[in-house]
Amino acid sequence: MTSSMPPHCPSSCRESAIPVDVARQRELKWLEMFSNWDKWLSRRFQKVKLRCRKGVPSSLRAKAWQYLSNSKELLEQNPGKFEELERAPGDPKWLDVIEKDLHRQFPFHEMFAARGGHGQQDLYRILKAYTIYRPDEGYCQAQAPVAAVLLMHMPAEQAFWCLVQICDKYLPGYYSAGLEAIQLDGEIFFALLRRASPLAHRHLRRQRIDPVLYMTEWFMCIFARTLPWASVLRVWDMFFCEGVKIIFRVALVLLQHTLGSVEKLRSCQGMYETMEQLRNLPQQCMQEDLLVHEVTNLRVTEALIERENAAQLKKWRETRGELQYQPSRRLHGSRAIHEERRRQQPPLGPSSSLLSLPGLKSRGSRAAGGAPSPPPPARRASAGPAPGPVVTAEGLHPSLPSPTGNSTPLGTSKEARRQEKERQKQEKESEKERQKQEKEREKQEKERQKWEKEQEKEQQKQEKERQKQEKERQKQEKERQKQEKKAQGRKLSLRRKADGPPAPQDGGDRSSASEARQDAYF
Amino acid sequence: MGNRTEEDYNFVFKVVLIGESGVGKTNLLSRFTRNEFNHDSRTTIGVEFSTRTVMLGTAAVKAQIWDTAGLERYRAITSAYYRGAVGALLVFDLTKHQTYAVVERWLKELYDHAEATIIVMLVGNKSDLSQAREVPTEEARMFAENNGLLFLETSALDSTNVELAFETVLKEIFAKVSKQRQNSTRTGAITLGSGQAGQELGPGEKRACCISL
Repeated sequence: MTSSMPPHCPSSCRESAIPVDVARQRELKWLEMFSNWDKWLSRRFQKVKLRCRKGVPSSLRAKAWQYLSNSKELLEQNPGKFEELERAPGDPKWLDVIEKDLHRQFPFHEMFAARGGHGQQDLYRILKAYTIYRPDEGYCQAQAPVAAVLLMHMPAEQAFWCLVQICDKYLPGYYSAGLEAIQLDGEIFFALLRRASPLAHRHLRRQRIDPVLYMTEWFMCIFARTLPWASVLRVWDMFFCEGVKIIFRVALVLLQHTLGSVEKLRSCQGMYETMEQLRNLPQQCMQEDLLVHEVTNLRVTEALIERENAAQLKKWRETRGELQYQPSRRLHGSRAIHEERRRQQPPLGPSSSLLSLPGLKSRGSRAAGGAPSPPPPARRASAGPAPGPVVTAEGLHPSLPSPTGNSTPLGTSKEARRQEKERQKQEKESEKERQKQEKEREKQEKERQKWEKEQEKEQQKQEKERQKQEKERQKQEKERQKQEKKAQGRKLSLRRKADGPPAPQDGGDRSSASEARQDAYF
Repeated sequence: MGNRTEEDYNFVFKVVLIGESGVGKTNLLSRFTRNEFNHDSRTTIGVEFSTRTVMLGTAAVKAQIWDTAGLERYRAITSAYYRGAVGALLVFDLTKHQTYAVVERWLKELYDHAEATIIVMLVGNKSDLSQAREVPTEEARMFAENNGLLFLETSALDSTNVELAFETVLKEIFAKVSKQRQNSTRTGAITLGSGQAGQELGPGEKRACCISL
């Protein structure tokens, strides 16, 4: 355990403490990005990444997550799909489990506290819809907290498509039967830990603590149940932009801080003590600013993860045979998703009937003409630049005629137009409602943060007490160790040496850094 | 049960809680180790655990109780969870027959991964909801007898039999260990089972230094 709490934590570590004008400016920057999203992603991704690392303004977080994950487009391409899934009966096997879990997600959160309340209802709708959308995957318990976090930010339909992107693109296989992807990532993580903190790695290996014993919840819930709330949001901001790499990095930072030095290891010599330590991570390293800082500075790249992935997969096949469940390829964040979409866009899927084919074709030919990035589909372009920097809610269908004039629906029959108009009307109405909900949610958010602060204070108090006890115990420990040393002739100094250089992972990484064509780190 | 501090113990026993999702494993754990019950406890994802040191005669026994997710797909990652366990509480919800119907599958799971010598107790939880009972006591008792399991009905909510359940399991383990110890020259803490378990739980040189909250 390191020195105790961060009560000195400057108020700047809370978003609410950011000066108004700075916050406003950030919002404007994000709004500008939304209005030219494809361009930003394909040409100025580094900037997008940087802004995600700084933290998305909370007023735009929901929208940003949907843009980053591209769930926004998925929703637009599948109008009515969510309702259709909702209407389907669903497999009672899953519904039963889901129902059991509804009141067990963030039970202290206002939104999910009331049995049968809105939060729980929406949660049910989303999770059920997913089991119908992906009958082969069904429901996995860790999906519930993830969905709950999404629901705290956006309406059910948007949250659903966001969840779909997480399960399909960001973390394929995480929630599937067999949990092979999680086990594999556990092995990858352990291999990465060897570089990031050899001491922690050796300790865990000696204690025979399998990664799945401590990282399962972290990875499957994207730390939603582990970190303080402000940190959860910042981690998710980065995760939506950069993908699973962020999860690995956060976990590595946590372990560095928990088991990364001889001193820390002294207090957890047994397996159980170590596990206990891993379940009660030092508050300091989970604090928003420190965590984000260390995560961004950790040299763990996509390329490195992919390389380790290949190595561990090979090992798996040698020892355990073929994977039973072959997940789709994991995409490292929004740019990879963006690129995949661009590759797949020309032959439109059957579900995207509302997109105008002629428009796309013309755009496709333009792209072929050598433009590095084909302009986005019409509705994407038209959805963004509402007149003025109005903060719009998510999931907009184009409410304005596209500036490129490409959004004219296929065939442009009167019927279609009428439908379109009607839809827009409904959209506007629901839009208003959504904004209302948004406001309410923000209120809740504030309240929660207040509550969280209080909790933190309490935890800090406890922590201090615990540390006092710890110190006493360490004293005893030292004495004991002295005796032990005599007996066994062990030399602790050796260990200390091993712990010395904070970035022993450099060497291996440098090569991979050059491989990682896009993944510069800061 | 004793009021010795966490640090003084002669034995460490690892006990696992298994059974379907929602039968009350986590609440049994929190009732026993912290005397707490929570209607809306969070779903267990991965592994949770807690300890409590109890006195059995003159010996202090530290019970290390592991709790895991009940949902089927988590079973893929539970081999690490069973390693070194010397006792198990196989929990079902006596108001939901389905959770009892799969007990056999859980037993198989247990014997596949744990030591053959593991002490197992079948636990029918939620006895406070007697009006909603779907599993007759006698039926479960018979099943336990036929399979060589201990059996109790508990209520984590009103605490009925919770202490007794854990204590009984620990005593059984203790008896077994005592027998084994007669053949063993080892001093200090002893663990049942293979060398693996010994490594994990550690001989007497290891001291608890964590506080269960």
